[in-house]
Amino acid sequence: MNPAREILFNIDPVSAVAIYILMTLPVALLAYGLARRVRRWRMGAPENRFERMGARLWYLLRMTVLHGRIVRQRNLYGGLMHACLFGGFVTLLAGTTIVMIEADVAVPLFGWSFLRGDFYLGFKFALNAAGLLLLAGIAMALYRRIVMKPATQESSPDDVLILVWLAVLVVQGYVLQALRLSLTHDPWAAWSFVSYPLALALRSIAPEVLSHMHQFTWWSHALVAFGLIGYAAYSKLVHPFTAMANVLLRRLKPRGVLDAIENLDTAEVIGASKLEHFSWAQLMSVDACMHCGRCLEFCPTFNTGKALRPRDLILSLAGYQADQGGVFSGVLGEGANAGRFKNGRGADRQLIGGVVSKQEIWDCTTCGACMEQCPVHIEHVPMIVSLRRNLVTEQNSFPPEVQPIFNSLERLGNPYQSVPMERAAWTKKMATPVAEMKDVAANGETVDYLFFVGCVGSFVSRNQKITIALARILQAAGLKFAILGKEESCNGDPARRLGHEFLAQQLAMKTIERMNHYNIKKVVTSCAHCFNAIKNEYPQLGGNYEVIHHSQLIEELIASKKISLGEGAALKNGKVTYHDPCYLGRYNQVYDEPRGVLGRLKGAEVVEMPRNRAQSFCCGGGGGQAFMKEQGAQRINVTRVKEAIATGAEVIATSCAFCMGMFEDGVGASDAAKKPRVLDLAELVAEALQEPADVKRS
Amino acid sequence: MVCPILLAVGFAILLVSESTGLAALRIVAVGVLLAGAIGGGVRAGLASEPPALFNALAARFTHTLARVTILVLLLPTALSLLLALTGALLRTDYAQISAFWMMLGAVIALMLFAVLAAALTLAGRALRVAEKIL
Repeated sequence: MNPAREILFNIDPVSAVAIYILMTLPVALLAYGLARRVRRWRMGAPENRFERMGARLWYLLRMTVLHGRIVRQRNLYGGLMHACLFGGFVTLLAGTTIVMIEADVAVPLFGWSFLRGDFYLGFKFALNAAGLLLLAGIAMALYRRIVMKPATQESSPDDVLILVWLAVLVVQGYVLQALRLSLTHDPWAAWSFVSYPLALALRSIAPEVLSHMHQFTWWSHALVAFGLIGYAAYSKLVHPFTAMANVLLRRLKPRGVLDAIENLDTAEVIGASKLEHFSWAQLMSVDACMHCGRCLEFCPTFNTGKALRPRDLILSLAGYQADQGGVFSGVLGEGANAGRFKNGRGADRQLIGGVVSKQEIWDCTTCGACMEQCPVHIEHVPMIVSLRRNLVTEQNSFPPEVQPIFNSLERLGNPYQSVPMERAAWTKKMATPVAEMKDVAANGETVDYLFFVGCVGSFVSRNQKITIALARILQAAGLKFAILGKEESCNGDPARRLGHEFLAQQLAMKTIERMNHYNIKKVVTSCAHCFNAIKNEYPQLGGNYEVIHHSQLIEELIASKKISLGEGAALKNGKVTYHDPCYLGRYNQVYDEPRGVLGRLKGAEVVEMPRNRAQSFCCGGGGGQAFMKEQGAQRINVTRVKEAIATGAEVIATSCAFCMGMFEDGVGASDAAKKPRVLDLAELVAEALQEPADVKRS
Repeated sequence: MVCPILLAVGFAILLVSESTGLAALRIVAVGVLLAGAIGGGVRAGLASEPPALFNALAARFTHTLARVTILVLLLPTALSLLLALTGALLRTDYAQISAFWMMLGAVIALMLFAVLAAALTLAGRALRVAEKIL
């Protein structure tokens, strides 16, 4: 006897027809809900997200099947929970599809029945296991929502409802199978190892009753499944569609890039004050949010009690979008913020000031921790900057302390109200002179590198020491380099992050013109923000250079033995911890080189802070925050300094001009008995440098 | 009009398939039905204004009502499953019990559950009101 399955066992012909008719209703509801969402996305501005589809599909496969961003060391529980839910659900869905192919395609069209023999036994076993996997995922999810209640998670009734719904569906499946096994006395019933014990227990019931129970359960199972399909587009269950679409059509540019606005002078609107000012892809991305709260985990504003919570901002936009989209558009399941926008009550609110507060917009440090963590690749920062652009350019609305920064950038090309003539003042402290590009070009010479010093390194006395240290290293290595001197101006990063796109482009174009004039090929910077802007954003405006951060160059110089290190006074038998600057680490994935440099320092014991590398915690200085008054009781830099001090480190090392200022300030405000020194990598290396006599510090 | 026609044609093919025993037609019917359902849903969804029927429903179909509807859909099923499982585990002799009485039991249990839920909701509301007053 060959094991096989009778499809539509115990189901009368009328039911068999009716089920197909009924199926059209949830399918139509699902299609309607998804189409409403697509219609709203189409309101957005155009953006090309369809290039390199092969690479996109491969990445999507890695992210979904292998759970690339979902299972992470610090999110093991949540990741495994999702893996159970995903694995169980997909296997059961595939099982149902296989049954449908057997019943409706293979047998009637080709007379081929494949659900028999060993394959069928394995199929039964696999589906029983998949059900258990799904139930385990549901139990883990309910436990997390009801008992664990992590600070980053808020539960809405819909979250629990969906889990219960899925659980009912799985249990129904088991009971349905047990009833069938009881009625048929299937000799291979034991392969259905979950349903089998239940089937044995059910055998005491009269066959007539079992038959009725089977029919009732079959119908209720179908209706519950149909209900779930129909509800999916209006709840977080839409995420298999929206999240996959968002991962597939994610932005492929480097994460640190903010798109420059083309044709600024003729653009009708700068930034976003209405939903349709965002791109269609950005509107799609807010629908992909499933309220997991991972964006909050390393968010400096959430963790220090500020108004901005990236998840809530996205959910506010999603709720607002649903509300503007018309009936049944996500009204049931937009999560924690659903109550703010339902049934048309929120549709007439202003986007800025009504849906998203100005404080939320200005709180952001643009550190990118939210984007790094988001398992569905939502990009919060470009949307926040879009809102800032509109506030600054269209509404002339920004924190008062930013006005002098804009004025200074516009008039003097730096945010410190310093005269450009003083840009190269630090070179007077050098024993060996540092060349300026105008002189190099006048002599018809060329250089290996342009050292783009940056405003902080040029004008802030603490940072001038870093500039001098790097110049000494470059000289010790025998590299030919020069600076722009008084021809240098701000690269435009602070203006761009603060939303002043006109000023940002003006400053960037000025620098690009200068650098192109001197035919610059390679640029080295000691500031992570200069590095990111010149490397990733200048190509949009015609500036294409090979840009290297000083941590990378120093590591290269040590490795190639162009410089050698002796005993460094700062780190003799000292612990050092390294803070990853957001614009170097998360935005440009430079994590190993700075640690490589520290590891080469004699006597240095490198200790890591709990939050490091891609999961580093911002110093609080990015996104123009270094120039703004921080709101809220807790300060971001003090929070990070506490974390650094807790490692027992004597030195906090960093490699960004803004981080240096924030840490110096944070250490000053700290009440620790033994305060660590804050040093840049270049300073540590310069101190340990065995340099030729002609470049020794005077 | 295309989508309703597709639905009607799909239904007709399905009836022919089942009545004549031409099982091969079933997949055609399913395909046509799905095309009608998906096409209708998408067309309605992409329309500038939702269909009047949806507007009329939306005026009444609040969050609460939606959730109650969902619960009503889920609870009888959950309760009947509970009854079946309990019976199976206790190995009650169901030979004497007809399916009608089992279903009636499920409905009675559902009503009891609804009363309990309503009582708990009212108690919760009362507590909140009391908190505000006090």
